[in-house]
Amino acid sequence: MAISTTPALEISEISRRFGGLRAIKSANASIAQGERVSIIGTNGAGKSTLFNVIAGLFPPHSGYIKLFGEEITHLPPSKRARKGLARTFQISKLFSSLSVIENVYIALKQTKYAGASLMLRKTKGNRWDRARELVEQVGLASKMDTIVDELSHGEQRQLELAMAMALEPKLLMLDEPAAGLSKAERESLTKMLLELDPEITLLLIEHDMEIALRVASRVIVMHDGEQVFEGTPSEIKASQLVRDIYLGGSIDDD
Amino acid sequence: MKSVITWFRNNRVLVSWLIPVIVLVVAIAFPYFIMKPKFWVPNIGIKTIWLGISAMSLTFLNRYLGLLSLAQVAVSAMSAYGIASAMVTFGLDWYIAIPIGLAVGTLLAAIIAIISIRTVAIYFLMITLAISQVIYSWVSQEVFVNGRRGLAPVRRPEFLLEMNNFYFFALAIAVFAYLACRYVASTPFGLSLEGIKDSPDRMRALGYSVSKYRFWAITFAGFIASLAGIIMVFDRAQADPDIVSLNSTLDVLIVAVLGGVTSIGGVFLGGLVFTLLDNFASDFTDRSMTLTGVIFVLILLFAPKGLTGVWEQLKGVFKKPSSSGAAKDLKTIAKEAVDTSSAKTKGKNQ
Ligand SMILES: Nc1ncnc2c1ncn2[C@@H]1O[C@H](COP(=O)(O)OP(=O)(O)O)[C@@H](O)[C@H]1O
Ligand SMILES: [Mg+2]
Repeated sequence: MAISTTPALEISEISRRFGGLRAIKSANASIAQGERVSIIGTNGAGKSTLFNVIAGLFPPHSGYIKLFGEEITHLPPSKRARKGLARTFQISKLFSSLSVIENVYIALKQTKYAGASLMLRKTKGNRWDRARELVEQVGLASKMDTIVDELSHGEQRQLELAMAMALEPKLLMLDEPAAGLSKAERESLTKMLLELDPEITLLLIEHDMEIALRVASRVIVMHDGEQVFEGTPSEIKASQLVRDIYLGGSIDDD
Repeated sequence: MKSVITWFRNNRVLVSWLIPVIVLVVAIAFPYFIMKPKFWVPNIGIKTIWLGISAMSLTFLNRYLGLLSLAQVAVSAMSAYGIASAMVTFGLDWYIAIPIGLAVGTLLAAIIAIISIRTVAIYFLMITLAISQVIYSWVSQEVFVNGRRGLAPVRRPEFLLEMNNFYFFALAIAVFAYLACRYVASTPFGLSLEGIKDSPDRMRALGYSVSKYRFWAITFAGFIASLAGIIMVFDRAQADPDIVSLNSTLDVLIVAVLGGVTSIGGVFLGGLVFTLLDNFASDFTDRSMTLTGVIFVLILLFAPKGLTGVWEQLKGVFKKPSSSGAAKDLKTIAKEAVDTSSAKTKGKNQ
């Protein structure tokens, strides 16, 4: 299978305002297929806004977005998802009154001619089995039929991940997947990200530096709606600018 | 007692069919064990059924889409008008008129869906109310449907002339509507609707066209509401603007709320209470509407899940807390303990 040279994602001159606030001033990036990129930056830097614009939750005020070479700037989020873009939300948007497996079942990639099968019983058939498999993969097997409201925070984040994977994404965008996780849960998350299918392109917003730097081959630093620095994990560790932004301190490479 | 409760808990699927089946058996026996069937069968039985089915379509939309529609009565009424004009104006037979009525009602629902598809919450409620008011003033003035006087007489087909037969005919439609709603709810389509209700943004991010699902759900509910129109028009023997009036809309809303706007089957309990009040409240007071209103407000205040919700609350009293519930409580307690102690240490440090 030939890995093409078309970037998985290309954004150019993207800007977005909220009233007078310029949440993103001008974002440019090109991410190769299969590349692993982390986006870091302090709170309010515009990272989630950038995700929302890429995923189509709201339009940019300027610039364009291309997914695998195809312009998607004005497509609705549902069409982008069907083109292989999957994202998680910083604040969980799970289906709180449904069970774990039902959540993943809903998230499964839509087949093109689903029309008739939408009217068949759900607990029979391959899709239900596939959902079961995914739940097991993220380590929630024992919670299969638990209602999401009753899950712990960490379990909800794991479910988020299973749902993103259920889409069979080509571009996976995770917004702070490690937030609020325990040490052990972070460990298993990191392991899962490292073992991700190499063909999947990963865009990761993460506050936990250890995870952000370990998983990615390239790191983009955002500050006040601007990309202020870009480099490999070791360049990030060495950068004085990044240290200044984070008020020294938090980038320790043990 | 304890083993009974355990049995109930372990056989949820069976239990979820137990109550509907018991209700059905009682409903079948009903014409035979009441004292004055000539009064009860049409005024309580049949009226409960069509009010219930119309309210069921409202409840379906609320339960699975989180939308409160005030246009369901208008849809039932247009189905009734469709049947009436087919029979009265064009002299068609009942078996042709009924499909025409269903088609008219369902088509109206599809149009309402297109108009209202992008609105949610209170805006959806207002737009559906406005649509039903537009329909009301239209039928009141339209010569084709005989304006204020409406279309009459809509004669029941021969085999339904006998009141009990008509009652069982209505009951069969009710069973069909109930099964249809439950079936749709159990499909992936139904599950997706619940997903949209919980988190429409997430559904979009997962590749679902939310408007398309909303459209089909509203259209399906319109079909259910149209079924009520069949019984309604043969029960009243006419179609007139009263059936689209604000009063009729509120009647069905009250029925849905009494039944608990999340319970598909509860609407028939709501319908029963409503028709009983409607017929007998005037025996105690000459302000029967006031009494109905007061009861409505009391239900909203004390049993927001309606009368079937009261039943659930009672079940909750008997149920011993589930293990996960207990774990959650412990966790909350532990978390609160940590929070307060860390607050204390912070206080000390300052
Ligand atoms: N929907 C919104 N409406 C108004 N302001 C917003 C909205 N989303 C984000 N913002 C603002 O945009 C800025 C960037 O926010 P965000 O992208 O969430 O930052 P980050 O994810 O990097 O912490 C913040 O000042 C935030 O308050
Ligand atoms: Mg954020």
